[in-house]
Amino acid sequence: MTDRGVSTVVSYALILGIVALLTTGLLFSMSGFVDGQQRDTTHSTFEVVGNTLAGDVAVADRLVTASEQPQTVSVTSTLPDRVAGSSYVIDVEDTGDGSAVLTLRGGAGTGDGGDVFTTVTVRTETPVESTTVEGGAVEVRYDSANETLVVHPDESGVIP
Amino acid sequence: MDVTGRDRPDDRGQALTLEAVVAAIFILGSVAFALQLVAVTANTGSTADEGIESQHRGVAEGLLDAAVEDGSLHATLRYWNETDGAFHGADPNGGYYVATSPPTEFGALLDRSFEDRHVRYNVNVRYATANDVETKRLVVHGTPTDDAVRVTTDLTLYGDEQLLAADETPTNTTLAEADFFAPDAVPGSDVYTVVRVEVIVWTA
Amino acid sequence: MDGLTPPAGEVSRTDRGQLLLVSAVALAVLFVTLAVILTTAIHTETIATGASETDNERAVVTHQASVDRHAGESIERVNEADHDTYESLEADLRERIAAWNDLSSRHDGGAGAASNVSLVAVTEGTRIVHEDGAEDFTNATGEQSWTVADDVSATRDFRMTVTRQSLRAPGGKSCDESGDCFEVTIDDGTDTWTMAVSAAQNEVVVDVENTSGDHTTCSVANQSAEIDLLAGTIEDTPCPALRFVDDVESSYDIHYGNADNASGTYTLTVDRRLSESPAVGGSPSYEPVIDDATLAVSYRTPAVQYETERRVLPGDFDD
Repeated sequence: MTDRGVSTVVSYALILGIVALLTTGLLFSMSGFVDGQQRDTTHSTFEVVGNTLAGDVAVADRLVTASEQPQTVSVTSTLPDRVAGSSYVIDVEDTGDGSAVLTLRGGAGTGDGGDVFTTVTVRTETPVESTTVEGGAVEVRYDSANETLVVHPDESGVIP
Repeated sequence: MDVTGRDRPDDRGQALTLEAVVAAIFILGSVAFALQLVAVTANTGSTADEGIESQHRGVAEGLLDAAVEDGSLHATLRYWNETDGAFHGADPNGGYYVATSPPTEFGALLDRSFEDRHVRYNVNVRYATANDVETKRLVVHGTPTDDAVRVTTDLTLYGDEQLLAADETPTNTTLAEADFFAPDAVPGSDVYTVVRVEVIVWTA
Repeated sequence: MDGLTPPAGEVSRTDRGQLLLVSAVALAVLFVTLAVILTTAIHTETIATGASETDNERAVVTHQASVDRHAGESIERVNEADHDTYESLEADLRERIAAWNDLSSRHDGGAGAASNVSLVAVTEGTRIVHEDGAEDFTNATGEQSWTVADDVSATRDFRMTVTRQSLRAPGGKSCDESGDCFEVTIDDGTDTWTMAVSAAQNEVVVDVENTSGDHTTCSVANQSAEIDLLAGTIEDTPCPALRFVDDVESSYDIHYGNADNASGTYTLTVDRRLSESPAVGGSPSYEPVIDDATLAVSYRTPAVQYETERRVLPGDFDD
C-alpha cells in the first residue's frame, strides 16, 4: 500500500502533466494554425474585395469619360463590413499619373503580426481623391466641381 | 453492496466508457463539422463558366449592333404576315420560329453568329401595351439555363413604315394600318412604338 | 459515502476523463473557429466573382446609344416635316422625345432601372433649298454674285446638281482667266477656297482651288453632274478636293459668283439661323431646321446612377 501511495501521486502528477502538456501543445499549435489561416483568408478576401472596388472605380471612370458633361455619376459597391471576423479600412491614393492605389488594411484582431495589407492598382482617366474609408458599403461618386472621383461610405442604406 | 468495492469497477467502467465515447463524439463531431463546411467549396461560378459567358455576350452584342446598323433587325420585325397573325414562315402554333432562324437577313446573321450546335439562343421582342409590357417571341430554341446571357437593344417603329412580304419586299400596308402584334403606343404621332429586342444565349 | 470516492490506490479515472473532455471541447472550439474562417473565405470568393458593376455600366451605355439613335432619327424626321417656325420644330421634337421616353422608360422599369430623357435645348440651323431645275443659281433678287450663308461653323449637307447646258464653256481659257464660270467660294476670313464649274466638250468640269492655291480638277462626262461637297464626290466618283470642310477654318461664309452661269438644283444645310427670312416663291428658300439637340439623360439603378447632358446630331444612322 505504501508503494502504491507514492506511485499514485507520481503517476497522478505524471498523467495529469502529460495530458495537460499535450493539450496545451495541441491548443497552441492549433491556434497558431488558425491564426495563420485567418491571415491567409483575410489576405485573399482583401484581394477579392479590393479588385471588386477597383472594378467599380473603373466603371465610374468609364461612365464619366463616356459623357461630355456628366452631372451625376455614382456607383455603389457593397463590400463586406467585416472580413474573417474583423473590420478593415481602405486607403485610396491617387498616384498622379493616371492610376489610383487602393490599400486594404485590417485583420488586426489576429494577435501578433499586426495588420494584413493588400494593394490593388486601378488605372483611371479621371483623377481620384486620396482618402480613407472604412470597409463596408461604399459609393464612388463623381465630383463635377473638381472633376474627380471620390470614394466615400454609402449612407443610403439601399442594398443593390 | 460489497465493502471491498467489487461492484465499482462495473460502474466505473460504464462511466469511463461513456466519458470516452462522449469525448470521442465531441472531437469527431467537430472535425466532421469543420470538414463538411470546407467541403462545400465553391462549385458555383468557376472561371471557365465566366469565360464562355463573356464570349456569348460579345457575340450577341456584336450581332445586335450590326443588325441595328444595317436595318436587318428592323426589317425582320416588319416581316409580319397580317392574315396569319404570325411572322412569315413561322410555326403556325405560336406564330414564332421554333428551332430555326427567320428566313431574313437577320436570320442569316443569327445563323452565322451561332454556328455551334451546342449554343442555343432565343430572341424575344418586348413591346408596350396600354398598361403593361408584353413579350412576343421571335425565335425559340428551348428554355434558357440560369447562366444564360441576355443582351438587349431598343428600336423605334414608325407608323409610316411598311410590312414586308414573304420575299422581304415592302407591301402596301403600313404599320399604322396593319394588324400588328404590337399596338400603336403613340396614336396621333408618326412614332408607332418602341420595342426592346432581347437575345438570350446559352450552351446546351 | 464510501462508494463515491475512487480508491486512493488508483489513478483518478474520472479526472482523466474530465481532462479529455476539456481538451476535446477546446479542440472543438478551435475547429469551429477554423471552419468559420474558411467559410468566410469561400463566401467572399463566391459573392465577389461578378459582383463588379459592369452589368449596370453596360445598361447605361446601351441606354445612351439608344437615346442617341432615336434622337438622331427624330431630328431627321422633324426636319423633313413641314415646319415654318423654329418654335414648331422644337415643339415637335420635344413631343417625340417625350413619347419615346415614355415607352423606353417602361422597358427600363421592367428591368429594374429608372431612366429619363428630355429635351433641354436645340441649336437652330437653316436649310437652303433651290428646287427648280430650270432656274439658275441667282438669288431671289436676281444677283449673280451673292452670299448664300455667312458665319457658318458647320455645314451638314451641301449637294448640287448642275446641267451641263447651263454652264459656261471657257473655250480654251481656264476659269481663272475667263472669269465668268460659276463659282462657289468659301471664305473663312483669312483664306478662300473656290470651286469653279464649267463645261468642256461633253464633260462637266470642276476646278477646285484650295486655300494654299493648289488646283485640282475633277470631271465627269454627263449631261448633269451631282456634286456632293461633304462626301467629296462628283456623280459618286470620289473627288476629295471637294471637301472644303477639311481645308477652311471654322466660321466661314459661302458665296456664289456668276450664278447666272449655272442651272440645276442645290441644297445645303448650315448650323445657324440665317437672317434671311424665307423667300416667298423666290429661290432659294430658307427653311428652319434643327441642327442639333441637347438632351438631359438619366439612368438609375440601385447600384449605379448616371445623369448627363448629351448633344445629338441628326443621325446618319441608316445606311
